[in-house]
Amino acid sequence: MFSKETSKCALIILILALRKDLGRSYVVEPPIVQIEMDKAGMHRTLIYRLRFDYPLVGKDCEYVLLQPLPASVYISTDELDDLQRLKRLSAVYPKFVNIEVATERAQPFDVLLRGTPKITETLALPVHFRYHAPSDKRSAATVAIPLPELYLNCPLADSELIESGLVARIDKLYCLNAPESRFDENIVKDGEPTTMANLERCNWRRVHVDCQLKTPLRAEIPVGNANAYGPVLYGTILLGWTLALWTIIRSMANTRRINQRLNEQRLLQQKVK
Amino acid sequence: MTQAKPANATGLQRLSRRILQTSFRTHILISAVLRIALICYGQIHDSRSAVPYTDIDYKVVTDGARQVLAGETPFARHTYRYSPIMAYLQTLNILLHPAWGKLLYATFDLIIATLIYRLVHMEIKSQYQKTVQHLLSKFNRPQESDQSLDALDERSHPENLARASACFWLYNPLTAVISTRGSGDCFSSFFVILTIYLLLKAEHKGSHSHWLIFGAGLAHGLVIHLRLYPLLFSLAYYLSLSTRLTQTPWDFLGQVLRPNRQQLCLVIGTLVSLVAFTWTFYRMYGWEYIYEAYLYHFVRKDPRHNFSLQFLLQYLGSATSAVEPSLFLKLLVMAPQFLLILHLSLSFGQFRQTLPFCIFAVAFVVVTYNSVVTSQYFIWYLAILPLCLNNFKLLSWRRCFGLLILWLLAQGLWLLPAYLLEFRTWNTFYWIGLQGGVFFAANGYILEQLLSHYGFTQFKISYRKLL
Repeated sequence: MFSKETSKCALIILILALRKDLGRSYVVEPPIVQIEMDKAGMHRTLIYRLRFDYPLVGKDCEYVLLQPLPASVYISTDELDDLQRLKRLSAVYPKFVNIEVATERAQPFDVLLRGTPKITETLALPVHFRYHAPSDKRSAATVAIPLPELYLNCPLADSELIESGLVARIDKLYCLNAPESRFDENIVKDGEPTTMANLERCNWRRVHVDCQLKTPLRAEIPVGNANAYGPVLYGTILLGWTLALWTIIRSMANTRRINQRLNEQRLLQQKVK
Repeated sequence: MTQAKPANATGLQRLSRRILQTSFRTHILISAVLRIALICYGQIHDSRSAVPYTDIDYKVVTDGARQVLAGETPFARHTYRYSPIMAYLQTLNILLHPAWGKLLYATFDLIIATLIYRLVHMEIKSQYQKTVQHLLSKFNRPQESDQSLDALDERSHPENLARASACFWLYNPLTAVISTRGSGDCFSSFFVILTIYLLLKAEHKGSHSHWLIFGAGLAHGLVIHLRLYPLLFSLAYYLSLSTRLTQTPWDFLGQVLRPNRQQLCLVIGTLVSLVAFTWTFYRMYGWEYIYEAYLYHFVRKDPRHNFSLQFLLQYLGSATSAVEPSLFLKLLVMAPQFLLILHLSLSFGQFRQTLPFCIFAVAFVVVTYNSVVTSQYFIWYLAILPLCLNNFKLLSWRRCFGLLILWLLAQGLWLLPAYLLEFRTWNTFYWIGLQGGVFFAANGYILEQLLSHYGFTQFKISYRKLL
């Protein structure tokens, strides 16, 4: 039979083994992103409330929330520059966004919101809707903003924090392409030197995210009636001409009188000289 | 502006008396302090608020200046669409302090006020002497001239009118805010007023008149280089140097084909500075400069809401299926503006006494009939308005306030549908178009009132003192 000491040791080993198993079986919950958008207007704010599970918090990990924006939505780079200056936002976005063109001539693009995982965090991204070209078929256009994607990057030493259950595509790593404000799939080419910087830059993983919409990410944007172009053209011409001719006719008498008096003065001056 | 007496006339009178009693130098000092305070406020505001006080163009030009200092072209900064001079002016924003440009523009604000003061003073005095001479000629004493201004009543005294006109500019909240936000509009307005000043001064300086007119041409060429719109003032400047009245199309043709020496000086001065600046920057920055600073403004299509009568037309014309209107229709849309500018240049541009008002009226038409109108454009004519205040004496105070309220009300009425579209996403395109038409008509009515009530010899001259 086992001695009392041996039984104690076996119990301790069992407890330790069980604890180790327990630690391994803890599944990191996917991050939760609650999204909210103002209900009306061409100028709205997208509000994100992010919640990370505690194993990801406090480590040297970094996240990027990639928000795809359709052609009918734009950002003001100057506005975002100001927010970054005031440290209210950390984001990667195109250097130049043409804010004047209508939807039909614009291109979609992505905005990357950066941060370090916290238990809860709120981000605000001001966006603006573009005008739509007038149409003879509809008086409003529905614009839907796609759901964001979440990418995580932990230092190589902590990479096991991003567990396989959390990752959307296990076999893929992504490189952050900041100048183009997007992620590129990391395709390792033979003969390409592997630097530490490259490894860090290309160590992003797309993770599952639980998106909870507090308001729909849809907007009804008014559209003018293209059939009205003809009447508006002739109305504009008529009003412009009417006002110009009326102004000329009404002011003629006074201008003639003034010029006559000034001419008299001029002739007098010339005579005196 | 003497006829009606509103109920609170005593309060107004007391205020105007106090303004008139304070020296011009004190007004400049108070205005300088006010502007410095606004610049400081802007710095504090911007460091805390996400909605900046500083004009967006100020940031663009500062970025352009940064490019210049790095040995690059300012046009490397996207949306930089100004003369490179603006970037050069703001290089000290980077080397010295970010608020340098605002300080510079605020200083130009004060210099404009000084120019207004001197110009109005000179103009009233000259007009008084001409009026006196005209009166004396009726008594067969045209050779006498009265330099003393004794026969003038206090309110018509050049000193008082010049000070009141300058104060109108100095204490206008719009102009103070625009310059301290870092908008360079007052910089170009300064050269417009300088051109008028030099042209008027040349009338009184017989010996150096040609040089003064050449200088006016240089200033005019520079301001065309800076902003294109002053090009439309050229005919009025040219005609104001004529020595005879243009009454028929043949007279007009003669004026254009056979310029006198003064007119030649103006044309040469304008061409010298316009070509020199434009060619220099073209050599430095190439075609990109010509396209971004000038051509872009002609090809730009911005169908977003604005005050213009043509907003709705431009928006509806942006349909992908829209057929481009014929050249004839485009001419029909643009022609009223050019017709009015021609009419105003011929009606008020032929004498230097009426030149400031002519330039004001032309600027007013340019803005009112423009295809894009935003609040910032109003400064184009508001800068010249103080030069003509004395010419509106036929308008009663009540009518003046009425016109001001009409102007503000028409803007307010436009703002409502614009707000509903922008912040409530209501389909108010037609409503905005209609209000654009109302604002256009209101501006037309205001212009007609100013033209009909314009007067240049509104002096109360004491015959007893004069004779």
